[in-house]
Amino acid sequence: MNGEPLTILLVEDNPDHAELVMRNMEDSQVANRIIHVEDGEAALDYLFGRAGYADRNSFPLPHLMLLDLRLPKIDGLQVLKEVKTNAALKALPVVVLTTSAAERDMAMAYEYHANSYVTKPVSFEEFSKLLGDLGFYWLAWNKRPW
Amino acid sequence: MSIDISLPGFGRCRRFIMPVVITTIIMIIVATVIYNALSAFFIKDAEYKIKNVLLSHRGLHSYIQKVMHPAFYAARDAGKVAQDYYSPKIFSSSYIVRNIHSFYNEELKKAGLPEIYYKMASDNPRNPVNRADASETTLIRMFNDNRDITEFRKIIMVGGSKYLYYAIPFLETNSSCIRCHGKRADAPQGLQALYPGEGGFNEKTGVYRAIESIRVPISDEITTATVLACSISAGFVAMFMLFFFNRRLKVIVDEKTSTLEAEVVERKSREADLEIKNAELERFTYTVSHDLKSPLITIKSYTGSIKKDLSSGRFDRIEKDLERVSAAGDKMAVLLDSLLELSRIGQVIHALEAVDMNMLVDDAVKNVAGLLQEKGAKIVVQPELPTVWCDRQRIGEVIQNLLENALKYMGEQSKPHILFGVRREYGTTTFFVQDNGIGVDEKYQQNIFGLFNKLDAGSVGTGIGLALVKRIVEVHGGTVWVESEGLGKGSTFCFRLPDHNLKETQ
Ligand code: HEC
Repeated sequence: MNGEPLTILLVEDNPDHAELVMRNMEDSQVANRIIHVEDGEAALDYLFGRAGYADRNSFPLPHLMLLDLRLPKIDGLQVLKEVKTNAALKALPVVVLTTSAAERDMAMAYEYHANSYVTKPVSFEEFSKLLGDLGFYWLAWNKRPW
Repeated sequence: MSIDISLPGFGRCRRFIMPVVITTIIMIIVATVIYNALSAFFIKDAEYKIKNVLLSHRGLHSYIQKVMHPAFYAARDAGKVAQDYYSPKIFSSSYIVRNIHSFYNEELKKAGLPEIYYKMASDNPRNPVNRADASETTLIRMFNDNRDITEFRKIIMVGGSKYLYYAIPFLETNSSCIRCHGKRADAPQGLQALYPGEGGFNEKTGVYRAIESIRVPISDEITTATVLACSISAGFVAMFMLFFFNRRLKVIVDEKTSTLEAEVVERKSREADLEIKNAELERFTYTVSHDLKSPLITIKSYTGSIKKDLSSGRFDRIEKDLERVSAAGDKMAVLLDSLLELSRIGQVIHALEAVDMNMLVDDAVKNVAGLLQEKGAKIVVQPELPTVWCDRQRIGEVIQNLLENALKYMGEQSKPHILFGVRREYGTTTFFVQDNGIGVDEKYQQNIFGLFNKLDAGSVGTGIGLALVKRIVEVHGGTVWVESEGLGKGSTFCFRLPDHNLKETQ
C-alpha cells in the first residue's frame, strides 16, 4: 500500500489451518509477509530474537500476531502473557485466533490483555471474510506502534 | 436359630450393668476392709486401756505383797503390832485392789467416762464375791493347762451392748501365799476368825488360783468404725463412679469425635477425588470439542476453497486440498474411536489373572512389528520378568501403547533402540520402557499423560495413547510416570502396579 513492509506472525500448530490463513491473507493482499511458527516456544524465540531469529532484517518484529491458544511446548496464553508483560513488546497487537469458544479461555486471554479474541469460523466464506477484515483493520486502520 | 431380642436402649442399659456390678463389689470390699481395719484399731485401743488398768492393779498387788507385807511383819515381829492381828483391808491385795477399783470407777463416773468392770475370779474363793462363774472356771483351767497362753480376749454381748472381754491369770501361788492360803490351821489367827469357811484354803504352789478379768464397752467404737467405713467407701464409690462416668463420657465423646474426623477426612478425599474427576471431565470436553472442531474447520473451509478454485479454474492445489479434507476426516474417525476406547476403561472389564510378563511383552512386540520394521528399531526384552496379577488384555494394551509411543517419538535417531525391563528398588517393582528417542523436556513430564497432550504438533497419533496407559494402570491401582533427562536424551516410561499384584515367582 504505502510501500512499508507489513509483517504478520502466525502462531498455529495445525498446518491445514495455517495454510488456510496464509492463503486468505495473500488473497486480501494486506500484509507483505506472513511468518508461520508451529508452537509457543518458536513464537517467543522469534519475538525475543532468540535461537536463529536474531537477525531483525530477515526476521523483523511483526505488526500483528495471530495467536492460537492450544499450542505444543508453550501454551498460547503463556505466550500472550510473556508478550504483554514485556515493555518492548506489549504494544504489539495480538489477535487470539482459536477454535476454543470456552469462556475460561476468553476470560484468560483478556486478562492477559489480548487485543482481540476471535474464534475460527467453520465455513470457508466466513473464514476468508474474517481474515480480510482482521488484516485490513489491524494493519490499515489501526495506528501501528512501529 | 437365634432371635435378635435387642430393644432400643437395651444396649445402653446393658452397658451400665457391668460397671454398676463392679462398683458394688468394690464398695463392699472397701467397706469391709475399712470396717475391719477400724474395728481392729478400736479393739486394740480398748485392749490397751484394759491392759493399762490390769497392769496398774498388778503393780498394786506386787506393792502390797512385796512392800507392805514385809514392812508389817517387821513391825509385828518388833512387837509394835499384836501377833495375831489380821485385817484384809491391810493384808489382802485382792481385797484392796477390788476396793481401789470401785473408787476408780466412782472417779470415772464423776469424770463422765464409762465405768470399767473388773473382777478377780477364783474357783476356790475365800470371799464369795470372787467366785468364778462357769466360763471363768473354764478359763482358769485353760490357763493352768496351757502355760504358754498368757491372755484371753473375746468380744461379748452384755445387755445388748458389745464389750471387749479380757482375762489374764493372777499371780501363780507360791510358798509365801501358802501362809494364808494353805491349811486353815496354819493361817493367821485373825484370818481364821474372819473367814470361817474352807474357801481360799488348801491351795497348792505352782497353780493359778484365779484370773483377773476386765471388760470395756466397744459398741461406740464399732458404730464409729461402721459410720466411718460407710462414709469413706461411699466417698470412694462416688469418686469411682465419677471417674468411671467421666471416662465413659470421654470414650463416647472420643468415639464420636474420631468418627466425625474420619468422616471429614473421607469426605475431603472424596471431594478431592471428585474435583480431580471434574477437572479431568472439563478438560476432556474442552479438548474433545477443540479436537473435533479443528478437523471440521479444515473440512468445511477446504471444501469451500476447492469450490472457489473449481469455479475460478484454478486446479493446481485441488488435489492437495482434497487430501487435507480426507486426512481431517480420518483424524476425526480415529479420534472418535479413541474416545470410545478411553470411555470403556472406566472399569477393569476382565478378571485379574496371573500373567507372565515376558509372554505379554512378546505379544505386544509382535503387534508393533510393522512400526518396528518401518523405524528400523530394535527392541530388547529383559528375561525372567515377574508374573503379575492383572487384566491381561488391558496391561497388554499398556505395553503396546508404550512401545508404540517409544517408536513414534524416535526423532532423527539413526539407531533406534528400546528396552523393556523391570527394576526392583526399595521393595517395589517397576516396569519400564526405555528408548533413545527425542526425550521429554522436564516441563512436560507432568502433562504428557493428559488427554490429547501431544507435545509435537508435527507427529502422528491422536495423543490419546498415554492417557489410555494412565487410565488402565490407575484402574489397577498403580502409578505411571516418565523419566527423561531432557530433549534428545531419550525417555523411560515407567509403570508400577501395587505390590499385591506381584505373584511370588520363587
Ligand atoms: C496374809 C495372808 C495372805 C497371804 C500371804 C496371801 N493371801 Fe490371798 N487372800 C488373803 C485373804 C484374806 C483373802 C480374801 C480377801 C477378800 O475378802 O477379798 C485373799 C484372797 C485372795 C484371792 C481372791 C480369791 C479368794 O480366795 O477370795 C486370791 C486369788 C489370792 N488371795 C491369791 C493369793 C496369792 C497368789 C498369794 C501369794 C502370792 C496370796 N494370795 C497371798 C490372804 C492372803
